[in-house]
Amino acid sequence: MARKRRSTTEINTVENASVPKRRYTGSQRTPFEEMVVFNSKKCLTWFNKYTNNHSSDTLGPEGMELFCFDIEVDPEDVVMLYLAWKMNAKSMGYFTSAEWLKGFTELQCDSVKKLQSKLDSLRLCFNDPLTFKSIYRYAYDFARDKDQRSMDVETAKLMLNLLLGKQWTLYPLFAKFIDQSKYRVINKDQWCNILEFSRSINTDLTNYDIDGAWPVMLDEFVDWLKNGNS
Amino acid sequence: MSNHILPDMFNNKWTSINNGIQTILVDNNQHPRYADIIKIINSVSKMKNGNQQLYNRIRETISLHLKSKVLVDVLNSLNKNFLAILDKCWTNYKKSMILLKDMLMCMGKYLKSNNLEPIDNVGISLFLDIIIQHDRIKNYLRKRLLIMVIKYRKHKIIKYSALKNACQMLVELGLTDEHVYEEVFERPFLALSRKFYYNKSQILFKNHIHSYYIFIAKMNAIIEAKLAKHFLHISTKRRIIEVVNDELIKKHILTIIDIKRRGCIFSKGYRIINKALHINDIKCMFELFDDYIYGPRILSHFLKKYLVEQLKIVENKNKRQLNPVTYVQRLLDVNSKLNCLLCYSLYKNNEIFKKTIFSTFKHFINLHPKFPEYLSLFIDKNVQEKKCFGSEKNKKKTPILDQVVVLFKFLQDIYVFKKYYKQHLAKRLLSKCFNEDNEKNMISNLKTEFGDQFTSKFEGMVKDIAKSNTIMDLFKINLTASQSLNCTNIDLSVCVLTTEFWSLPTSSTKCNIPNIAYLPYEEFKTFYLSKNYGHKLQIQPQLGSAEIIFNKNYMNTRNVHKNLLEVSTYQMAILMLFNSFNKITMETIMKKTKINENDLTRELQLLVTGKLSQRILLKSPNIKEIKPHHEFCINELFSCLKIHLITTEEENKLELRKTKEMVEEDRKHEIQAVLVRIMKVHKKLTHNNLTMEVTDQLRRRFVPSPMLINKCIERLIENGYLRRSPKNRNTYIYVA
Repeated sequence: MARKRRSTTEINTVENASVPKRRYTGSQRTPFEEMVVFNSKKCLTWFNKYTNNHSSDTLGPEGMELFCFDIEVDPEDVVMLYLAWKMNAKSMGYFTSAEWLKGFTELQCDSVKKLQSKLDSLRLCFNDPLTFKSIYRYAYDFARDKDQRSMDVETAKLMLNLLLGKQWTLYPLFAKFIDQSKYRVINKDQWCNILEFSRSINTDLTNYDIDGAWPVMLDEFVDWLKNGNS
Repeated sequence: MSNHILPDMFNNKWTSINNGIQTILVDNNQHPRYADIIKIINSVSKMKNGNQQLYNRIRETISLHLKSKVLVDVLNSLNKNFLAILDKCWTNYKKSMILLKDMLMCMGKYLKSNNLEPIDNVGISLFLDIIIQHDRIKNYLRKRLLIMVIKYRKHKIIKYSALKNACQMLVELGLTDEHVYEEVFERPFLALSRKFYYNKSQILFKNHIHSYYIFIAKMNAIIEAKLAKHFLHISTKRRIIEVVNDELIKKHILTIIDIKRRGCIFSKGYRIINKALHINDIKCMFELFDDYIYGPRILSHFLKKYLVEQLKIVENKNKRQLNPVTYVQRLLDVNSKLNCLLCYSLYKNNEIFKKTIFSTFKHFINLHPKFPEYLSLFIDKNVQEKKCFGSEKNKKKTPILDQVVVLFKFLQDIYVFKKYYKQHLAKRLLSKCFNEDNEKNMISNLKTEFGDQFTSKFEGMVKDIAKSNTIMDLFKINLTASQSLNCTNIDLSVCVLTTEFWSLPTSSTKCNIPNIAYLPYEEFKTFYLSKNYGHKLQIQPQLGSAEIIFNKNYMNTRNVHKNLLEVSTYQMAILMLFNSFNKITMETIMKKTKINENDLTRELQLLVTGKLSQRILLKSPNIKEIKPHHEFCINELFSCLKIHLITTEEENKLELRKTKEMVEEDRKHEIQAVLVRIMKVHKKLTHNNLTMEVTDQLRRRFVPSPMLINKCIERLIENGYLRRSPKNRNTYIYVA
């Protein structure tokens, strides 16, 4: 009994150490704290800078442009996708205030400077296969037209180029194949399998197995490659 | 002690007995003092040791006789008339033995109690030992017999009786020693035969007498059997046939099967089955093969090859003529021919062959992509034709449709067949030239073969027509009562088709129907809807037909020719335009009739093709293609009295593709259903296992391609029925 009681008190002390600090930062902030400690109010103020009428709940394409300009990042940089993933943003080109707050709370960023200092480390996250897979999957729902179940091929090609363009040597051929094929949309299963395909299949296709449960699209892609249509 | 005898006494008596025996042996006749000798023998046998001595003495006398007389005679005859003399000696000797036995009857009891051989048997073994086992005689006898056999095989005339008697003698001599016949004759005979047939087979193969080989073998077996049965001992028959079969067939079985070397049995087989003449020959062949381990397998192989060849002939013939009805008829012919063959041959391995025939047929027929269509066309033709026959002949006709049922069993693409059957049935029903009973019979045939689900729509279709007829009758009664003006110029007949049964397109196909026909239709529509509240009627011009009268004036003469044209609804709409136009472009026709371009092109094509006198329209420019700006006008030279433009024909390529797509779409649903069923049971399955199981379950209906299965799996994933396992993308998980 005694041991148990002790442990609860310990937890309490830890809470006491961190929570009150946050609670009172609004009135009593030291400059150091301002640099390090995350301030959700400040974060929201930052968000409102980019919204049209400074009170809207959603940050639109124009605000996005401004945001990118502020943090000195190209809108088509993958790191933007990372941010969207962190925020769990629903659709491309828009952030809601809730998404913004969630994402930046996790990143502990409430200003341009803080974010900029972290960008390089964020880019490194793409090297982690699990994180990458999660971002890759997220990208599908993020980028697709919400009115449709599947992603149209033009968007898909853009996203694939962004995500796999550098690592997957077959990507240019795949894009060409898609252009020549009858496919106008890519469904989620195909999308997910493209990543697996790019990761596991050799460039010379030697380890490709026709019975390997690949979507028909990829079977056709391999046929297309083997028939030398490229 | 009175029985005690002196040697002298015995010797005296023996001299008399000996004389008697000598006479019998030499002259083969009774001694003149036969009765006396019997008395003497009787008295001797009563003496002590008399029997014993008498027995021994007689033996000696016989062997002496054989050695001094018979042996010399036989040896002397070695180079001339040997068999005859030997036979004569033997026959005489046998007779003497019988007489001798009779004479020594009184000794019987003694011999029996002392376990001694009767005197005639003693005689036989003495003959065997002294005469037959004599080296020179034995060899010579053997040689003579074998020479006779060889001669027999060369079809030369021989003294059959000599051969027969000699063998008979050897067998009779076998009384005490059973192996005489075997040793002296049979064994060397079989060895000789083996060698003989070995050589024969070599010669046959060398000379490529393949086609007759099996029959030569059979003939030889028969010849040998005959020889053995009539002239040798019966036990040899089985052995010699075995030798023949061994040497001629068993040892060459692989060569015989080898098709590359133009397998020998096969070609002969074809000819026989082709002629369907020598059912007995085939039966004998079947029996012959039944003796071998490989027999049934070879024969089924042969049947298969024969069948494929036959089917290929059917196919090739058909390529030239391209007549679906004859194609199916020929298939039926081949099938019934084979069945008849199997029936007549009464072969006990029938099951194997039935299986072979079934699988070959099935495989081959389904190689032909148009088989389902042809089958349906065949039924189409026959179901209609039956109408032309009287009711008595109907009975005769039924078997054809029953035979067709056999072909259903071979059908793999049931779906494709269903599509075509429906299409053709629709045409039959709408053209009104159908026999309801026949259709119903056919449908019930299909029902037993493929189940309720398959035919439910067909039944609905037939019912629709019947219902339509009733309502048309009602409508007409109503018309005469109301005396509406709209319907006076035209004989309207409407079939009300249930969309579901007839697989009609949900969106109406457009076609402006001329008022003369449309107004009566409107009348009917009002009438129908008043009876059937809540229904919706829609015209399906692609299914309709019309009879129109073509009044043609020759410019210069004033004669009016009337032609009756039987055309489709589309064609009617097109032709009616020419009442107000002389010349009209396709574009205008399209505008006026609202028919879509594809349909219009097809219908116009029908109107402008054929012989000049058969074309209703003329087209300028006069080329095959039809373009929107091309012009059409009435053909003044048209002179057919009656023309029928709606026919059941083979599909063109475009329609074929369409049908295929429809079938594929149908199959996708079925595959998906099966996929879901399987996954529901297993919850989790790898890709390969799932593919295998699906293929397995669907095998009876069709063989889905892996690609098609993959597509269906993907669709299910997309629709959230399945998902890939997060750990392994090869594994699917059922989403409940």
